[in-house]
Amino acid sequence: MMDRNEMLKAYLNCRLLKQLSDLTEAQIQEVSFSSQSPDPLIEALKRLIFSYCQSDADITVRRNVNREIEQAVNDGKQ
Amino acid sequence: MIIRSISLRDFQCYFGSHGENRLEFAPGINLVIGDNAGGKSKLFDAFYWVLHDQIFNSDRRELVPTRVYREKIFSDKAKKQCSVGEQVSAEVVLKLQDSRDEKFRITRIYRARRTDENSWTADDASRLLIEQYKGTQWQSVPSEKHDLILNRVIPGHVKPYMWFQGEQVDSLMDFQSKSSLMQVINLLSDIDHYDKIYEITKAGSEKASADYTKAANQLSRNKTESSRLTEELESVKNDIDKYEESRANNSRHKNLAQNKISGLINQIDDAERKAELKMERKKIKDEIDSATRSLDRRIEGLNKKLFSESWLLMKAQPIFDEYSVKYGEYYQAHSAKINAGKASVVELPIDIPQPIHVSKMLADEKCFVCGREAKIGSSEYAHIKNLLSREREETKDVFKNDCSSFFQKIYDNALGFKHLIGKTKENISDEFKEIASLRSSIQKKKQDLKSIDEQFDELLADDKSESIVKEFKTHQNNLDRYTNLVVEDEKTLESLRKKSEHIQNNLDKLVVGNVKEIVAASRDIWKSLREIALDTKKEVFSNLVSKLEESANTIFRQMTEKNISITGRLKLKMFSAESCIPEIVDNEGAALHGSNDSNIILVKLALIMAVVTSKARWSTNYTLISDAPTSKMAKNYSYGFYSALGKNFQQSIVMTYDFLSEDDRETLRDFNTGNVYRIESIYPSGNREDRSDLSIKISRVAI
Repeated sequence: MMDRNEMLKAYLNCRLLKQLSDLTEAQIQEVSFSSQSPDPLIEALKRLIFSYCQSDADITVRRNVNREIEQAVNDGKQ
Repeated sequence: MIIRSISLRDFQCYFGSHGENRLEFAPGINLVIGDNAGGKSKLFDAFYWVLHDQIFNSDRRELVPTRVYREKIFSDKAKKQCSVGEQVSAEVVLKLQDSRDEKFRITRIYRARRTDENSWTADDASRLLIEQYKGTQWQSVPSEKHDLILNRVIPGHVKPYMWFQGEQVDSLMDFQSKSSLMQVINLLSDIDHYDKIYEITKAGSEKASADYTKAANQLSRNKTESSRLTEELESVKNDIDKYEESRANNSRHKNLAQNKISGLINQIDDAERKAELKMERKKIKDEIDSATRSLDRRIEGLNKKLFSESWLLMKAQPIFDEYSVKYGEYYQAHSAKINAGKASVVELPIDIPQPIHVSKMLADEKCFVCGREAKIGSSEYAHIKNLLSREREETKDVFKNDCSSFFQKIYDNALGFKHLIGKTKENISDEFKEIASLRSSIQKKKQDLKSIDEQFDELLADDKSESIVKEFKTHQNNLDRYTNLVVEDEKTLESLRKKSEHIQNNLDKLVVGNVKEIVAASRDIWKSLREIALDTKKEVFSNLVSKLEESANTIFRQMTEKNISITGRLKLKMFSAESCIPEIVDNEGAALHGSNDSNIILVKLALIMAVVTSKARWSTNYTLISDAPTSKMAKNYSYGFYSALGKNFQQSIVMTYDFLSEDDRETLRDFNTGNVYRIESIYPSGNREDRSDLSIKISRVAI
């Protein structure tokens, strides 16, 4: 199975992610699985990679990402 | 896992005991040198059989299981010596050692009993025995762990690229197939993970988008219309998917046709002149495409500017002028009627100038209209003051229907456009000149193109290489056809996207209130994830191709460093975001055509080696086994192959007819050579047709 850190690095290098994320270039460089990011998109991406690299079924990966989005929206309301 | 030895008993032409048919291997290149029909391919078969229970049926050109091949697997000599009622047994034993020095022994056995002169009762299946050396003895490994051990010797997905016969190299990487290299890349790299993640985000995005639409429709003030629009939107999206796929396919066909044409040009008569014409044609075609795009943009811009820059009103100037005259006459008559019977004649309409300006004039004691002074007490001052005290009611009595304010509005609006129209005349004429110039330039270039095509056709008509010319024309037709199809697909896609946007806007307009935040956020985030996943997949693939190209070139250079007849370097030409084919190019990147078979095989081998030695370092974990890999290469090309093999693989076992002469074997000192054996077929009775007399003599060769 793929190494999740290697995979996250590939996605963080994506030019489009830099445009779509609310984070600065420097903040994107700091993104990791061990720290929380303020951008819901980045958190959803991390959950996607984490779950996929755990060999979860596709539907489980999607469910986990949806939970992450829900959490981010709820946190934003508080 | 390193292969330490192989031994055979009565397997195919290898008659005799394990002791008589044993070869030991070391790290580096292990060579088994033999002439044609010397037992090389049967030795390759033995490696395959012991692991996979399959044997190559040379009559049917396919791998068949032992239960189908049956007693043909035994040595003819062993069968001849077996009496009725006795048993004959074919066995192959492979000894292996892993990086932690653990030793394994894999044995496959197949038996048959002779029932009469011409028939045998063979086992239904072969038996596999795997043992591990522990302490001082071999201990059996439970059958449930067999697959694990076998996979450590050579995993199934790597096997085709590390265990192959020379004649298979061509088909392993078929350059005519768009997907051949892609299959190898997908198979041996991690790229498929990025594909799978994209598929997950695509499904997630579609679901989140559908949820959003459903929620929005529930808030619609016209649910029936929303439902209809949703269905229509779905249908348009399906069409977009369909046309995107069609465009990708047509684009691939177009590029392939272009590639074939380039390849064929050098093969036909007067190739240089034809190549020149083709280059000229391409240049003109590119210019036409560029000018056509420019013309399309101009025409589209013109349509927009008709409204945004009021070009539409250009012809309205005389109407405005005529209206101004008539309105002037009307205004005079209207004022006269209003003022009739009044003590003082006020020519200006009520509230013109506006009261705020009149008050300022009185404060400044000056008329802003004529610039004269109007001191307090003067008649001028009284006249200005009188403007403030006029009463509107008076006018109402004069006309039954007073349209003056309406005519005034038209006049004011017309004044606003007057300046715009003045400038427009100049701009629009420039624009039309530019459009006419582009049209004329395109027309001229199309004539040039036609002339080149005619010259080309003349050259082709005289060409003697008929079949090549025919093939060339087929690809030329394909190129034109697919180019047009790509253009049509792009136009359709553009129109469908606009339609989709339009429907979505209409749907949004029907929504009253806000869709739940979580539903909207989910749609937006999944959409972004999908776009990021697609973009990353393309970037990862592109990086992978670059690295593969670099690695293949390193190996290609190693293979060709002693061969001055080979020039150029390997280039992986990207056909689309996810497909590429290899070609040999010169230092300027131009494709070198007319490569001979040896060149092509070298390119293919370099690529196979580059793929295998790339990311996961299979080359250090598994042994490359090949039967006659250089069979399609000229002799001077083989040297480079062995050199690259020694440098890139920890262990390889190669069955070959290279180095048959002692002089040739001198060069083996240049490579990372392991053990070398010479194998020869032996017919003691001297009759080389009698396979029941055949055995193989194996002798170690000192280097």
